[in-house]
Amino acid sequence: MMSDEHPAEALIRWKTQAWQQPETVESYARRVADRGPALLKNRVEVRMFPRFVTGRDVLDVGVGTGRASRPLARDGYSVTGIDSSAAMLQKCRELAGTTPMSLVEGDVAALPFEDASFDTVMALNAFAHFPHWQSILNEWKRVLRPGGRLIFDVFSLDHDLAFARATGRPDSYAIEDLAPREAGAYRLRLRAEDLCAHASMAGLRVHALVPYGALCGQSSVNRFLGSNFSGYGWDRQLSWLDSDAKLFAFLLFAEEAIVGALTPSATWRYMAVLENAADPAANGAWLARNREREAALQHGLNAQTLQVLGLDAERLRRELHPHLEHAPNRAIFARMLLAALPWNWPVKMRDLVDAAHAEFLEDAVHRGSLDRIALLTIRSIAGVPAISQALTYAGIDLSGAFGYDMMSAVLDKGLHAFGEPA
Amino acid sequence: MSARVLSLLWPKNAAVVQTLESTHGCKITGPDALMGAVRPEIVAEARARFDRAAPAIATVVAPQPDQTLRAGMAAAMAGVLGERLTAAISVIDHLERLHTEEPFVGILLNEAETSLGKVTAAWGQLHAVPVFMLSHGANVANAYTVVRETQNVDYLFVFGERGAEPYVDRGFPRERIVVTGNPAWDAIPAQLAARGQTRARLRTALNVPDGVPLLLFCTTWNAKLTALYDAHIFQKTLAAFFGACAELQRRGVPFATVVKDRPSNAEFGKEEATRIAQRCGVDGFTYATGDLPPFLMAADLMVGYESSAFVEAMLVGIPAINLWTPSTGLMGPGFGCDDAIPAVRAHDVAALADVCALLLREQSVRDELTAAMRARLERFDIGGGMAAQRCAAEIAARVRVPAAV
Repeated sequence: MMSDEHPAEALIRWKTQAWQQPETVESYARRVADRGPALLKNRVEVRMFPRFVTGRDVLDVGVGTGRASRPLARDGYSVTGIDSSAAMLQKCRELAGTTPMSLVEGDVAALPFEDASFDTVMALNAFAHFPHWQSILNEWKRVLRPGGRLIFDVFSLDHDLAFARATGRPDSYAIEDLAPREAGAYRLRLRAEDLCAHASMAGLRVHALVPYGALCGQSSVNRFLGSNFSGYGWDRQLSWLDSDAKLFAFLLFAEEAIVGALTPSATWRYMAVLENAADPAANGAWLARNREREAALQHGLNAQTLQVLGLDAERLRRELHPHLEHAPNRAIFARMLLAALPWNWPVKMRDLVDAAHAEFLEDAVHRGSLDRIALLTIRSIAGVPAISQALTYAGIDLSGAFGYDMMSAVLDKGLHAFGEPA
Repeated sequence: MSARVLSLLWPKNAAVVQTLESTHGCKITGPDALMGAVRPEIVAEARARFDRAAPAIATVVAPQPDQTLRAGMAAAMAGVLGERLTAAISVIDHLERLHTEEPFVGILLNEAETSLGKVTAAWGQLHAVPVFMLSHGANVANAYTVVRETQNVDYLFVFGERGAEPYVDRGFPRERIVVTGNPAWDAIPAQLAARGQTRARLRTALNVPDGVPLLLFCTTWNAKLTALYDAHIFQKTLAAFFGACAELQRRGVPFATVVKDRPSNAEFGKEEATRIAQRCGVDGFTYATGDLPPFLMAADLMVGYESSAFVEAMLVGIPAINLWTPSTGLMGPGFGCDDAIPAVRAHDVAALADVCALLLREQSVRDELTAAMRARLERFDIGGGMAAQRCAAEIAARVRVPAAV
């Protein structure tokens, strides 16, 4: 039997039902726990709200376990949480303990509140579930007082588009091929431009779009940092955050002070902060400024780029210094720089770090460059017809068969990567 | 008609091959069949192909602006091609002949990255013969450069879920990974039943008096497949260990030391270890290259670096310390915080000595740590003495047995 239900409605209904299951709630609570590999993502997200919250009355839409609004309630804000899942609300109540929070079971797409009831409407991991995001935004704005703020996270289509363009692919690759395939994995990806356009129509002013999540692991996708900062391997690194406070402090700093200063095309998600004030001119100006920042980033990372991004190079260097004194932080910072190599994205090291640390980092980048030269050279053998034809025997192209031995030979004897014995 | 399987498995996985023969009726062809005499025509063929291919290597290195580096890289690549091409063509020649005589229904490899494994895997894929790769280690290291390229096998067998992770990270399809345990560790549970005797025998052989704890150091090596990895990791990790030993000696802690090296290091390992021990002021140690489990049974604490040896320590149940070096940070750690393998920075010999002293002295800490290691073991190895049987059964279920004539 064919259903008359709109696909978006079916998706929301499916997701809503999934969250009714206590075991799903428990599993979610574990996944977003403030420890282990989840620690960084949780802190980066949760710390975003006190930064942008305004007024006293706060509505947390899709409150879930309340991980984002419980701290606000503890700080004295009057927090109302709404969720369609009774099981989630029960978990939130349990975790809130004696912290006062008003929890309401209801439809997050049709809020059971009067117009202009709240100073801040916030949502964490909720907005991105809705394909019909414009009507959701309008509904959430309805309950917001004039001058109040909407704060929510969403996935960045700009990031996927930037990746497609950087790899010589058409925009359709970002829009279609990089979209999650399974219906259950749906996540709303928005371009900053589309969000600004709707904000202008809806009487909202863009206050900030803060990129985040580049280093947070936990299924994060960062198409520029690549596999070194995603997957099991990176989550294993993040598991040490519980026992290495300096590593945690550094990654939090990197996320908030560096990643957060970039543009929405830098990471796979961003936090949107919109104000309830009609100001299309301000939104236009924000977009123009964003384009200027994007253009500056094209030239790499140096003192001039930092200035356009609103960062003081001297201050950044000063703040980075103590983090880089910790050897694991230095190594991870080097990994970030290594991730820039495939993109030929120049980083002017001495504009970012003290000479004391630059030496180690420059050496790592040099070594990474040698790896890259060796690997690309060896791989390119297969693309040379004269070699490929000469080395195809009994239907097998042997041009790629000797990569293992060639890698060590090229690094050792060709590029002298390993120096003399200690 | 029996199913003919080509096995290039290393001797440590012999039980898989034996089980395939004895339990599943497979007919095994071993690596010797590919290593026979190279026909003169093949030598000539390889020479002619090399002569055609080698000049074109200059075009491959052309983007490199430095003339000297360009020449060095071209020479290095041509050198490998010259050394390996004849053997690779000969392997294909043997495979074609053997397959014509009686078709292979499966190919077993322990690695598919060096030329023998890669060529055999490519041949198998061309002829629709399923290729099985049985991991030869616990895959604790994150993959890098050419090691990332294992896409050319049909099935990957790993010791535990943890062993699958680097492959999933590099895009190997999860549904083609089978968790089997490590056949090479199948004997350990039985060996543990006689642990007391093994320990006593080995300690007597090593001249370690009763009551004196034994520190075991497992060496590491540099495969030279990435410039990021410390070229001197063997020396630096040994120096860290001996530095801590010297510190423990200064503190009056009684202990004996064994350095367990890789057999492939035997030529230089002992001399190098002796030089480093002397430099660190360590009096006496035993150098060995035998099987690790008996040494683990005789030892009280293991120190090592990002190695499958830590999983063996989990199996045997002795505490183990993983050294941390900048290479760990650059490549990513092999063990997570919950894996019950404490990490200590290699350059901090005082801290390493502190942790060693604690783990040698405090039984409650040892007990807590080994209990946590046991709890993590299954994530790294599900073997339980049954891995060879499991591997053989999984292979037998997937090979295409030819229909009887």
